Amino acid sequence: MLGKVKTITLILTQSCNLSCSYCYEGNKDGKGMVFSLAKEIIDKELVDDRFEEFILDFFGGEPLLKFPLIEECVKYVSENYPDKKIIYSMTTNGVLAKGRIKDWLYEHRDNVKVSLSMDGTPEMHNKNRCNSFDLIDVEFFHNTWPDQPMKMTVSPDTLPELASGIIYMHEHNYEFSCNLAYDIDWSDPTYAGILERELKKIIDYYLNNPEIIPCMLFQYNFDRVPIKIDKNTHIRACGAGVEMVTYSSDGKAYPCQFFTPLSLGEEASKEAEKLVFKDEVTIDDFPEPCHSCQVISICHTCYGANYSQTRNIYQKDMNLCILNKILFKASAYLWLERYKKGDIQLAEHLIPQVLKGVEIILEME
Amino acid sequence: MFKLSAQDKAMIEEMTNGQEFDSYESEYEPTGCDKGSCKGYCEHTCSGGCRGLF
Repeated sequence: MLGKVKTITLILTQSCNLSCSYCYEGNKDGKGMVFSLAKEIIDKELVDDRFEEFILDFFGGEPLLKFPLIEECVKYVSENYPDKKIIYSMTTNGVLAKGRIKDWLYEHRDNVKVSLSMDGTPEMHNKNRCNSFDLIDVEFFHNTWPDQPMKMTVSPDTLPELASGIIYMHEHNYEFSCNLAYDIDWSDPTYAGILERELKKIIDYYLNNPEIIPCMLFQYNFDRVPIKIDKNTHIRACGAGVEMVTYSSDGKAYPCQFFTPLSLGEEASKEAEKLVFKDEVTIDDFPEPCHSCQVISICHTCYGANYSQTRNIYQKDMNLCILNKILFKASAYLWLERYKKGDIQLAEHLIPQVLKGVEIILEME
Repeated sequence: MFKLSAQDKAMIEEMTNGQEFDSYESEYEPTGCDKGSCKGYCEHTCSGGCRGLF
């Protein structure tokens, strides 16, 4: 069943002013979108009556390199579609948010939601993101969009400092989401031990500071784990190609930004045009070992990263799988310890199912 | 490193007491998000789309 929201991503520019270590857009060619094309796409998409709301996502490269185009698009939509529910969004590296751009962003803060890429401590951020920490007014983003999560991406270079990074984000009261970078090489066997060590430190921090809500890295629907999944169960999956569409700078439509030539390269991107994206995904879509995995119902996936690495949107990176299982176990362990301390606020009738999920996760291979 | 102790297992067995669970979509929503294009499945880790906009 379709959701109510459609995300329309416009790749405004295929350039970036940084060159981050984990960036999956390996084919930046400097091309950019022009307003006449953006207008054409907007006019085509916003008449889709199947959806109640739209997210118009300005993407890149670095979207603020095309700030005048962002201004034009927002002005055009607000003047021509005043009755449509539309939120504008973008993720930026923050470097260009100065002067007039900063003033405009602040003025439009209620409708234009901006998420800053911020990778933990200044040292971690600089390792991943070209020594750019001192070029960013982090507090501007924090104060202007306090509820909009910053995006903290963890690379192999910053994994050994994961605990410091997460604690730093909490100590600065930043809302943030955190994930291990997709579509990069996680095959080094030492990463598992490093991740366990860092997660243990973070768990100690959360247990000593019960007033802090654990970050998204520790939040899973453990209650889904005990459910017997059969071929009729609709497994939650990515909306790429169904409820999401990405337009590259030349106006061609793709399931999401991962499938554009900017990310996959021309050849693989063209090959991906044959893929079929379904709204109803079931366990039979997933190959082994995921098909028989006990945590398939809570294991997030990225069709684009899967395809980039395995040429199958349902086949996950097995190196990342090893690390994800450690994450699930650490998260279940933290939940159980917090429950025993009385730090979990949850309706009584929901607790047994969550506890059962926690038990299954902690006992899995 | 993250193991279930015998004591924890006994406590869970007592709490769950042989119950069958069949509600895939329960009221428990730890990510606080089920509205985006991925219906919350991304756990806000997606590089595109709403990224927890809701």
